[in-house]
Amino acid sequence: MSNAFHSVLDAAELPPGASKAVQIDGHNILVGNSAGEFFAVQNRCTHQDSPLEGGRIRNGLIACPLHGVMFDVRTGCGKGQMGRVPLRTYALRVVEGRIEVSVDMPLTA
Amino acid sequence: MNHPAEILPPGAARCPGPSTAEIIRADGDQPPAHLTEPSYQFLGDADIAYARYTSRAFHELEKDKLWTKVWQWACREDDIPGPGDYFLYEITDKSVIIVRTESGAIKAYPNACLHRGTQLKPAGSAGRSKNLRCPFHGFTWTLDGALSDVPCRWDFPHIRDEDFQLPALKVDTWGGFVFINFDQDAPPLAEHLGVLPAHFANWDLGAKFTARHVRKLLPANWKACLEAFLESYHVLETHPQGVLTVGDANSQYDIYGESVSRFVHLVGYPSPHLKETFTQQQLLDALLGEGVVEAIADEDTKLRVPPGGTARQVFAQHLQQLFGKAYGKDFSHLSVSETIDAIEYCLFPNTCLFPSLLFPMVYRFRPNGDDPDSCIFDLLFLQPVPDSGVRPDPAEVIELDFEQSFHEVPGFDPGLATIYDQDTGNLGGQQRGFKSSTKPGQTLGNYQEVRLRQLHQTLDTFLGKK
Repeated sequence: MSNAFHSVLDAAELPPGASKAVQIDGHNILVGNSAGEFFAVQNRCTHQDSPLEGGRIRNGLIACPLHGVMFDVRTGCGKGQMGRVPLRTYALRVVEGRIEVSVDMPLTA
Repeated sequence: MNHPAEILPPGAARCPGPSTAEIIRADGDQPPAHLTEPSYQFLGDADIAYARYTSRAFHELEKDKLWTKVWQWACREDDIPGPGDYFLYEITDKSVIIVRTESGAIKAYPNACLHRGTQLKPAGSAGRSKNLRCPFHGFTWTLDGALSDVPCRWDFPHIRDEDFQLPALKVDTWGGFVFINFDQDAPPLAEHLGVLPAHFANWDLGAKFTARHVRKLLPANWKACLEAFLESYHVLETHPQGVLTVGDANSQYDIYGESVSRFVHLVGYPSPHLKETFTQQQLLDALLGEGVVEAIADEDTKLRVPPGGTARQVFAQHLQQLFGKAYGKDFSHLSVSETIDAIEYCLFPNTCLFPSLLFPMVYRFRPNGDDPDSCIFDLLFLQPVPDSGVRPDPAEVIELDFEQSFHEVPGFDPGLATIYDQDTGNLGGQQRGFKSSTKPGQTLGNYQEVRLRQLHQTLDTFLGKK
C-alpha cells in the first residue's frame, strides 16, 4: 500500500486555533492547529453532517459550529450522547514548512 | 469534660494565645486593614436540623426559592472570550446557555427550544456558534436571541417573531465570573456581593485564568460539602499531618452581612494544639517540606530564618520570588498574610474564593441534579495572567467520580490531593449519619462554625422561613 502524502497548506497559514478545509482525492478534510500541534480529521461532524471548519479548538477538542458536539482532534473520539461516532483522522506531517496529509488507510501491523 | 473556666457571653470565647490579627500585625508589613479587623457576630446557638440536608421536600423548596432566585456564577468570562462562544451551566434540573454576542455582551438563555423544548445545545458541550440552532427541527436564533430561521415557515402562521425571542435571564459579571439570576426582579449583583468588591480591590480575580479545573461528585448534600470547607476546626482531626504549619484554632472568622463570610487561617504558625515549642527555622523547614500547593521546596538553596525574623516572612518572600519567576510578575507589594495565609471568602450560596498567592482556589458546590444526597464540587485554580497579557486557554475540566481520588488528577500536588481526599472522605459518612441520628440536628461551635450558621440563616431568608 502506498503512503502518499499530499502537500496541502503552508504551516504558517494556520495559527493556533485556526482550521481550513481541503479536498484530497474526494476526501473533505479539515486541517487544523491545536495549540501548535497540527491535525487532520474528516470535515464532517458525525452527528448531523455539518462541516467542522471554523469550530472552536481548545484543549485538544474541536466543537462543531452547528450543534456543539465536541471531538478529540488526535483520536477523533466524540464526547457525549451526540458524539458517539468518532471522526476519521488522517496522517499528517510537516515537511519544510508545508503541511502534508495522507488519505491512505493507516498501515496495520 | 472541660468547661470554660470563666463565663463569657456566648461567642466571645477564643482559643488561648495570640489572635490571628496579632500574629498578622507581628509580620511588620502593610496588610489590608480589613484583614486585622475582626467582624464576628454571635448568630445564635440552636441546632441545625438534619432534614435540611436529607429531605426531598427541602430540596424542592431550595429549587423553587433559592436556585431560581439567587445570583450564582455560571462560568468564567474566559470560557466565552469571543463572539459566539458559549458555555452550558447546569443547576438542579435546569440548563442555561451563556453566550457572547457579536457586540461582546453576555447573554443567558434557558437551554430549550421555543418550538418543542429540545435543548438547543447538548449537555456537556461548549464551543463557538454563529447562531443557536435546535438540533431537532432547526429553529434558529441569533446570538442576541432573535428568531432568525424557521424551516417550513408556512406551517407556523401563528408565530410572531417578536413573541419568539429567546427569554434572557439576568446576567452580570464580577472578578472574571459570569453571574446569572433566573429572577427578573432580583436585586443587583452588587448588592449581593456586599464587601467583596472592596476587599478584592487589590486582588483582581479578573486578572487570573483557570489553570486547573477538577469536578468531583461528592456523596452528601451540597450544604454539608460546602460546610466542610468553612471552618478550620476539623484540621486537627482530619488533617493531622499539617498541624505544625497551620494555626488552626487561632483562625479568625468573619461575617459580613447576609451573603459574605471569611476565615483567615494562618500558615507558618504552629497549631495551638501543639504543646511543644518550635524554632522559626523548624517551622520554615516544615513549610518547605510540605509543598502546600505546588512543589515549593527549594533544592538549591537552604533557606535560613535571619536573627529576629520569622518563618512566615522568609516563606512569603521565597514564594513571591518563586511565583514571580513562574508568572513573570512582581509580587513584592504583597504582605506576608496576602502571600501565604489561607484567606477564604464564602459568597452565598455556594462559592469559596481565595485571594492569597499561595492559595489559588475557587470552590463551588451544586446539588447533583435532583439528588439531595449528592453534590457536584468544582475546584478551580486561578493563576495570574502573565504580564505578557496573553491569556492561556482555560483548562479542560477533569472529572472525578464519587470513589476517585484527587491523586488521580495528573499533575496535582500529592500533599494537597491527600488534604482534599481527607476533606471529602468524611462526607458520605456524614450524610448517612444525618439519617441514622436520633438527635435531630447538628450542634455548632459559636465561633469556629459561625459561617455555617450564617449560611443557614441566609438560606432561610430565601426560603421565606424567617
